[in-house]
Amino acid sequence: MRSIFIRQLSDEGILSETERLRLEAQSSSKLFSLHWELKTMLYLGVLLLSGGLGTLIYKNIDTIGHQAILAAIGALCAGCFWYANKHKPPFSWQKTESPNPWWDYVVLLGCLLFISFIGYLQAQYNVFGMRYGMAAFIPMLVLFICAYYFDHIGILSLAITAFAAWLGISITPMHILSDNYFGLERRLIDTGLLVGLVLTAAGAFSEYKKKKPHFAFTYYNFALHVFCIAALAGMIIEDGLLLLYTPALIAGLVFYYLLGVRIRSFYFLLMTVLYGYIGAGYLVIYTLIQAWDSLETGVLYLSIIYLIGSSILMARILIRLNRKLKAHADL
Amino acid sequence: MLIYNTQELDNRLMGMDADEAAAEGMISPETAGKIKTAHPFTLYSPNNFVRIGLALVSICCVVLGAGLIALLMLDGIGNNWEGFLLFWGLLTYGVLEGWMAGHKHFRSGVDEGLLWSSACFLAFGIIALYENYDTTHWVYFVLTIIATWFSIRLAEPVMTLTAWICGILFVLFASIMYLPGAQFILPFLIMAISAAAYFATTRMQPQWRFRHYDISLSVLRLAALLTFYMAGNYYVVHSLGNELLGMEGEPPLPWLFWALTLCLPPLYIWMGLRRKDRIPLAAGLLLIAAAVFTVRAYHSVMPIETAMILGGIVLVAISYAAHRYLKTPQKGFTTQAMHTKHFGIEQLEGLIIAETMQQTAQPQEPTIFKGGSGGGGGASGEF
Repeated sequence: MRSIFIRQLSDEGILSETERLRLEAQSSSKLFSLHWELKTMLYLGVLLLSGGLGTLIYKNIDTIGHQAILAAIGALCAGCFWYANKHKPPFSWQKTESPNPWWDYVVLLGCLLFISFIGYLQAQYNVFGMRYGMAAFIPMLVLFICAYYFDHIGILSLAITAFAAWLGISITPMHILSDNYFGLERRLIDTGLLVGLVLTAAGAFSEYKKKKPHFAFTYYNFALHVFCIAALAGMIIEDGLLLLYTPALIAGLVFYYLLGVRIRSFYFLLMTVLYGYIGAGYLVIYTLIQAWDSLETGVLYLSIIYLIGSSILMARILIRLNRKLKAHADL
Repeated sequence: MLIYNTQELDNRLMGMDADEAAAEGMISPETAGKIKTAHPFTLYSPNNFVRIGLALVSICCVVLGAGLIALLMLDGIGNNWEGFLLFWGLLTYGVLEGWMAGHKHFRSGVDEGLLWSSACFLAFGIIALYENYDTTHWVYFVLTIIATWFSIRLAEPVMTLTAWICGILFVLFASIMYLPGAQFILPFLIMAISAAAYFATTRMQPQWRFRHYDISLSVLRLAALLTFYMAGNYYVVHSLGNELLGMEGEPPLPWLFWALTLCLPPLYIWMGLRRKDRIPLAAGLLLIAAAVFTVRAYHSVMPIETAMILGGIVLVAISYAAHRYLKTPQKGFTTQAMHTKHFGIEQLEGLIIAETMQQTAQPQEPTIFKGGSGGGGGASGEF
């Protein structure tokens, strides 16, 4: 606490004498935490190491050295899992506290190396033959098992992405829009909806069956975005199927809105409101454009007026929602 | 100078300090509660999600309002777009001042949304006004002044950073125009300005009267350290010299710039650890990467994957050593997080891991997923 505040508060008699002395002693001998610096270094180190080793195998695939590299990766991976297992807190279906950040990243490195290993086996020896599904399925399975066994949200997120990749879509924040060519194939949109449903079910399972209930948020988070984006893509791209995808979007939004209210998560409320806003805006402007023949440039004015009016409405809704959940104004 | 009620901001700081002290067990939670009742913070300052939403809404209103007016007065505006942009920016600034005088907001999204839309309209207006290349430095000069004024009024860190960048660009372009022998002096001039700014802001930061500018000053210090490094970095000096100043070949005093490139990052880290100051420490860690890239740009020391593996091993080894060494706090350092782990941060970390490491997590592109791109494994691209 700032010394001026300490003085002011003790003059006002709010701070007791012991508290004042304790605070004054503290401000001269405060510990300096290197937590985030070291964590970032670890993260970058693991990123570089797994990326570099992955590249190294493929570059040396036809040389003599590659088996040595493979053995080294296998040994390193086994070492990571051995260490992780040794220092692991006892397994529980509830949240367990990780021993330290260093341990988190050892687990992560082990998983990433294992996946490089599998990928290499498939590329070189074709162990899964033509069953390409298996080559994506096995890593996913390993990731899910590790996520639950070691209680690791980072690995769970990787596993969820691998699950979507196994079904053929990509759902990480930066790739969900750029990598999925929803316009080319309707199948992808439907896959997105399916992934959303499955992940929602997984979230509900974790939450109600109390199997790692803190994983529910991660499942729900991916599910909400992939479902709503797929439904919106369906509405916008597949003109003829507006009557199919609009109810899907509305159903998803209602579900997640109620979920947000129930788990008191402002984040979910905001996201449903935003997706709803985009959907409604699309419907209004789509209708206006249909009326171009009769209204002509009036369409432009009406659209802008709609956007301004609806923005103000949005602001009011957000403020009201915030007031409703004030007590838990976090996630 | 702040647009906000400073008494309220003091109460906010006091409440934050009280929460921190209570979390550390220095004062009882009841005392923290009493402090907050005695000094309530009443400005409207919602959580970050509402804040983003409100900021988007305010920006939408300003931009769409401008669009609507422009459509209505299409003939009148004609070829006086600059004037319209400037007018609209000033109008938005007026709304901002009026809003803050009447409504009790602080970092609510409305103030930031209006601030940034006003700044962007003014900036576009000014850029449109000075189309001529010879006046680039005047554009930056005006932008610096606007951004500085906005930073002083709202203490917005990103605006402060904008002001710093525009100021440095002004110095750069103005000295190219007016300073004889600019190619020899410029790096040292910018280094001198950065060093002066760093020491001035470092001295300002602990002062009581700058308490509400704390984050802005941190940003400014970081920016000054980074600018100082960039002005001494061999690659930057070399390529800027070639592109802007028409120099050829390697810059004069190459040994000096190489020495600065390689020695400044460890020096920053040392400074940060010695003074227990997070800003130079962060700058030093960031710039290690810059030094590595600079070396790699000129000398191909080793193939990229070997460099990645070595770098990874070094980073993991350092953090392991630090983790072992600091198991019990040593010399005032600890690896424990200062506050309890946040649920949101944990989720965000998970997302970042999925986003950046997903490339290695997928084996290879299975041909069966024609339309999908999910399997775009990074490794398979290396064939």
